[in-house]
Amino acid sequence: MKCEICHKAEAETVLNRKKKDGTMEELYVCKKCAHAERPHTERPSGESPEAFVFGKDGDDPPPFVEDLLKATLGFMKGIAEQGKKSEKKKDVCPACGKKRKDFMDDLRPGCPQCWHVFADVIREHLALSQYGVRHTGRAPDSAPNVDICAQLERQLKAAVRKQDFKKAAAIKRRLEELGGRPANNPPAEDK
Amino acid sequence: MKSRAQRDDSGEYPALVARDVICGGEILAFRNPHGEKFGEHDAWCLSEEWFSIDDIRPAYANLVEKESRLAAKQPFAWNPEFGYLSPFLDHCGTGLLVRADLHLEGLHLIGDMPPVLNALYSVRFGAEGVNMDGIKNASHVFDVFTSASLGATEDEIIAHAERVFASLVRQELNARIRLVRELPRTFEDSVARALAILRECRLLSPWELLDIISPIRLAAVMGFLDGLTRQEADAIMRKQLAARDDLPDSPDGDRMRDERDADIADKANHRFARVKWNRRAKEIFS
Repeated sequence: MKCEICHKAEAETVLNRKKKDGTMEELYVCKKCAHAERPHTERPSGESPEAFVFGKDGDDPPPFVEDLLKATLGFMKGIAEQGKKSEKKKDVCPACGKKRKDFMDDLRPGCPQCWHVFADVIREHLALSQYGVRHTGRAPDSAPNVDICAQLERQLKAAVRKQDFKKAAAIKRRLEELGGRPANNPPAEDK
Repeated sequence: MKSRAQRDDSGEYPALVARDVICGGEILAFRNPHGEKFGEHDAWCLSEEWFSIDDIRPAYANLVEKESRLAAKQPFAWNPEFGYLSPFLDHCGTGLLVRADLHLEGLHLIGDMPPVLNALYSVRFGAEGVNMDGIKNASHVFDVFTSASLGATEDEIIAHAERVFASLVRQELNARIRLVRELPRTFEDSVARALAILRECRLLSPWELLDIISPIRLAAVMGFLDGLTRQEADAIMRKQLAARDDLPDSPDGDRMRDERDADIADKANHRFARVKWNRRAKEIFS
């Protein structure tokens, strides 16, 4: 079948085109005519994908590439900012304002919340100086039920794994109310 | 403990009883209020004294009772992973510390103190001597204490402390026997030098007195001296341990210090003028 535009080459693809009266027509065309009609969607044979997307040396990139790059960069910037925010949150105790740097210098928690915020540093220190890294002694009568905390921690891990952050935040709040470990400080793996 | 001391006794020397090594101790629990900032120190340091190793558990029972009364009024800072929370990392977990004052003059004289201290550190115990006025480990009375409180239950910590204190007592008693059997001249020399200083000195600081009296106390405990009992030696040591060098740093302070040291020297000259080796000691050391 010959190309319905040039009527010379063999038709190789289908092209949908809007007519002047607004209706769509379906044409069987050769690759050359298809590229002439839709220069950014039909890639001439032999052209590399990179050259197609970014253009040849000195060419301006096609307009959709610019949009795509902007969107990608924006997304990555958003992720980076979110990462910075979460890092900042870990660096300062929200209850007493003690900074991580100060804590590293004196190893003195300023309040009970510091034990959560700097738990990673504390675990490293205690692993060297104590019998173990987890409390095994008595709990005060007013202490939260340890089993409930452990169960909530398991649920929290599962929610984070499934990326259900709404549920994870709710569990974290519940854990903090009970005086357990918050989400950003997962428990050390028991040996 | 008495049975162990009797077993260690060689039969030819006066009985060496454990209470002469352990000068008493304390069991402490560090607690802080829930939801409040920490201070410079733990908010509460609950303590109970004990006088022999067998008394540690009854003292702990009293401590728990004391703690329950306080907990009823104020909840403690606690979390499931780190136990009781404190401004000091080493006070977390059970927040329990068991300490004892031990007079280890025998181990010092036979030169076994460094390995003993290393062994203590390796089993998560700490030991501090009395360091004052340029004198290190004055009198060789050591404050030996548990330095770990996380990862073990209260029962396990107390049992560990009982074993370590009993072992230290045993080692000190063996050191005393070895001192008399194998190094009598070393022992005799240290006691004789101390007595000579106490009889003839013109100025004596409280810390120097505390240091010098240590071999004399050991000789008194072992029943080798006339004119001084163990209780009298203990009273002198207690008085010096309780004394604080709070004189001001000024020319006037120096004069007061000299007056104080002269007074201590005069009293020592008078008190130790008639203290001497007894017949039994002379037989052993001859």
